[in-house]
Amino acid sequence: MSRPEHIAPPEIFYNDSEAGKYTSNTRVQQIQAEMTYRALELLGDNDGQTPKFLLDIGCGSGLSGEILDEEGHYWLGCDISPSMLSIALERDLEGDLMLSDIGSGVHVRAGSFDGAISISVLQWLCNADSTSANPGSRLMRFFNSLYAALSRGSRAVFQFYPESDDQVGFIMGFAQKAGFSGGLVVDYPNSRKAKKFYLCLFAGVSGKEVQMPAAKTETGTVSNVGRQSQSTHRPPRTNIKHSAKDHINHKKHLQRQKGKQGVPLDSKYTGRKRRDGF
Amino acid sequence: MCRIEIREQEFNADFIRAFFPKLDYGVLKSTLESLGDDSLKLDSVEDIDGQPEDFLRLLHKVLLEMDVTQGEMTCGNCQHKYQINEGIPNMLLGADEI
Ligand SMILES: C[S@@+](CC[C@H](N)C(=O)[O-])C[C@H]1O[C@@H](n2cnc3c(N)ncnc32)[C@H](O)[C@@H]1O
Repeated sequence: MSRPEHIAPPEIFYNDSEAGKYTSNTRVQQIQAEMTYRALELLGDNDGQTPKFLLDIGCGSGLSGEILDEEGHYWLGCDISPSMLSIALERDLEGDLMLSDIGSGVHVRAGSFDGAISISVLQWLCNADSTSANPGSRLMRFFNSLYAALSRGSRAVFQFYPESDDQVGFIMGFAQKAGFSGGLVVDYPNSRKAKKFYLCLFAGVSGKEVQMPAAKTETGTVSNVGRQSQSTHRPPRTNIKHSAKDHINHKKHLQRQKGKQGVPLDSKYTGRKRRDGF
Repeated sequence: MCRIEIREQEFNADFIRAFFPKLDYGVLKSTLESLGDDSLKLDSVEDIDGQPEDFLRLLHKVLLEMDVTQGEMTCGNCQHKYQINEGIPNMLLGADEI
């Protein structure tokens, strides 16, 4: 199957019909949700107390933003496709939306965000969609402006579909030039279908060294492919502390206790287990 | 033409306190005034932690609940106008504008 980013520029590829098909596909919904949870985990979304103000880069129709809502974060989503954004509008999410091309930079006040996530977007930036657009300078402008937009010590996590190792290196080179440290976390590296790439970037750190988060593997061994990766030999994590369902129900419980209105009802679908492979 | 809507959101005092230092209060105040809203009375805020909850609720309202659904933003440097449609600012630039 050819890659969408080879077919047409994103704002053309994600037209009304494709945006509709994408958003209503239940398998897409599940995968995007699962990857968003994982990105939040890699973001170090741990205290669960004060909500964060997050940037959702290439937010599309808000399949990822929906999870940010669910987790109680405030967020701004940007995307280049008007069709995707108009579906996001219809879906009545809490976050704010902006029509913009990340290759021209992230247009926000410096230090605005406590973190950023981006689900299934970054590979798009590697494709020049017009003769004047050079992927290298677009990536550079993007990472420079993203670095400025993040508060010091915060992180950006990108799930993406790299075409090759070279492409990973190409992208990471620009991130590094922009001042980010970090590296790549490859989940389920031995599974053709479940294998997922997460680029975890740190925007300036407060004194202490950053440790790359561990990847998830079928067998539970930890493997890191990061520029800063140290082999920490922490106990392997085959599973998250508690099930997603427990976690969500716990959060909902807290929100209800705080008197929040409109906390989604629990259902048999709440945090349902999504299979890792297909 | 400019249109403003209010979209209620859950109030979280901790979030507002944590968010405040990232903000240019003066710009927020003048932006609101340009929209005909003079609800921010203080000229500057030294210490957000010393502010009463009423003030935090006011910030919550103008930062998180007030939505400019129709209007335009003018860049202070280059005077470029960015349109806001259905609450979504259009920040796309022509190839020659980047
Ligand atoms: C596979 S969709 C993912 C959407 C959303 N993050 C999700 O998880 O459902 C990829 C999105 O990236 C957006 N995109 C691609 N290139 C972009 C660019 N240069 N600037 C902003 N958005 C872009 C597309 O418009 C599309 O909505």
